Amino acid sequence: MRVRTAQGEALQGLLHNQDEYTIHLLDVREQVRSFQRSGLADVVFPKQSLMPSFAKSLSAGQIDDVLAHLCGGKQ
Amino acid sequence: MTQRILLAALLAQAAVAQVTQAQLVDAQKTPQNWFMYSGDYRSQRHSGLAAVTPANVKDLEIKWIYQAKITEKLETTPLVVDGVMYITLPPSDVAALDAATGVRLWEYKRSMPPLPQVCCGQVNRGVAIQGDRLFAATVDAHVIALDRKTGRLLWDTEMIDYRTGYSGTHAPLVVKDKVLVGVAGGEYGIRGFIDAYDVATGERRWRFHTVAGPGEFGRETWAGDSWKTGGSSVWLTGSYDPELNLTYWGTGNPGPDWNGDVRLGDNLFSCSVVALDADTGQRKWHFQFTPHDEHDWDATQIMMLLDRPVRGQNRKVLVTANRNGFYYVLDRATGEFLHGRAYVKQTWAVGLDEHGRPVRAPDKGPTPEGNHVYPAIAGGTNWSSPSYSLATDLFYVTAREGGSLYYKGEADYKPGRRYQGGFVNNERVSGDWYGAVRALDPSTGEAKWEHKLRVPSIAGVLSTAGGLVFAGTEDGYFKALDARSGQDLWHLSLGGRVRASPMSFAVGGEQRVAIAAGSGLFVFGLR
Repeated sequence: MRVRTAQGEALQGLLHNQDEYTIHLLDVREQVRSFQRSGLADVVFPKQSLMPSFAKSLSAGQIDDVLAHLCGGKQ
Repeated sequence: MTQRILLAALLAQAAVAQVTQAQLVDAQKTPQNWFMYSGDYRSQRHSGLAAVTPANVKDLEIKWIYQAKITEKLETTPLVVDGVMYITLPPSDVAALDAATGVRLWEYKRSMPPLPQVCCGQVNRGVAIQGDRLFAATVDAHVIALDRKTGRLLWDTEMIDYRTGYSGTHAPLVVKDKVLVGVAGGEYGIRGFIDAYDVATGERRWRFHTVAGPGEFGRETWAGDSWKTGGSSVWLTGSYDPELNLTYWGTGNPGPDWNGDVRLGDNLFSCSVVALDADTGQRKWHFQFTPHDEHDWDATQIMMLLDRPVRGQNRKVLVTANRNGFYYVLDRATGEFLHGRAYVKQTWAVGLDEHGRPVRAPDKGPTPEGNHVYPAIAGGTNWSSPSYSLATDLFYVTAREGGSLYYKGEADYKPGRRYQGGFVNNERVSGDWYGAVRALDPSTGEAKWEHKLRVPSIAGVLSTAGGLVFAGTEDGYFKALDARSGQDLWHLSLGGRVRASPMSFAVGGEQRVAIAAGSGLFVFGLR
């Protein structure tokens, strides 16, 4: 997600938590940042993942291997 | 002589402690007390207390908290009479607290049979009061009377065998010498009813079946024997007009919920309001909001009574924001439909006809594949109480926006088991799933302002003579809004979901506002 504060600071990261009045963002340095919604000029949930694409650096088979590993399968 | 004086003093105290029918009728004239679930017989959930205002609400602080030893939701609306607060605790316990400090005075703990069937939690929403007695419905489908000074059980009457899916979850309504109460269980193939019990003895005085059976008006609206399992439960407190001597009760969905093929017809009196003679239980009129409902849109929402001009004429009206997404204005003497309009997004009807009957949109019923329909399963609003303020002349309601996928399935009745004929998935389309506190014109249902909530809420609202509307959120906030604009003036996180409706009272001459959240009851006052 991306947020922009009323002072113009722009940050991006993962949504850590949110409620009626606050948003907590895990930024790209893995620091939790807390905001009052009233202090944010903009909150955007882009449909595109923040993760970089591996389409050009890994083959389809290698991606399958990574997924199998992450899912707990055998190598 | 001294003994006589002491006796006289005790008798005088006992006399003061009696809550009379006249006090119940004029409940809003003594705003230091909160005499019944919705505040008064008109169910306006409005407090005449004006000490807390938009100017000083920022100075609200917690005065005390009562933590209940429960894991179930705390849905109670407390009553307060002469400095004593009465609450219910899940599943069917009652406690009296010092309203100034929260110190417990007594507790009635009910021994419960194993696992009564309740669709949505073993909850209870409050007690009723008259004389020196409290009255409560229980999850095992009994009605009880307690001595309000000690909590001693005075009588205990079984409404019906709970093992076939019946339960009692709402606060009763006391009218004159009778305790009025209905049964929950619309997801279990019950046959709903509203009962009246003698306040003194607990004997049943009348019963009105909310599913029309043999020999009763409306029997032809149920195909075959479907009336036997027609649901139409009653799980929120009714209203009462002393001049007309009519009591008004909303009824729940027909059973099974999402497969209407087995109960062809309008299914009276499901998803309706019934106006009953309070002395006899005789039906004076009814109005069905959703004939042959297939979306589980109970009409148990609070039936609020107002006196106001409609189309240039002063009318005694009944208004309600229905779970089906429409706001209604009815003549409460006759049941005549006066006005209706959608107050949330809805796609199941193209509108209401001149008699208020919905004109259905094609192909919006549940299907085996799932059919996306607005509003969502919890409706445009649910059991959260609305409020009305004479000062602003606005009707406040917790509104819910969003749609659900409604699936039709097999409907196989087995006593005591769920009987729903399908299932539902909430379908969260980006941007259209949210909640709001809305202020509506009571005559038209037109929205005058909206305070948006990130998540749809099940909490009710309270308006006060101080010019505030109190509301709660699903993520645990309690907030005060400006009654004229909806502006957020104050809020506090209570650390637990708010699944109850607020009330207000005074103790020691100071206004308090109370709300249940999580497993605690929180009481606020000015610092």
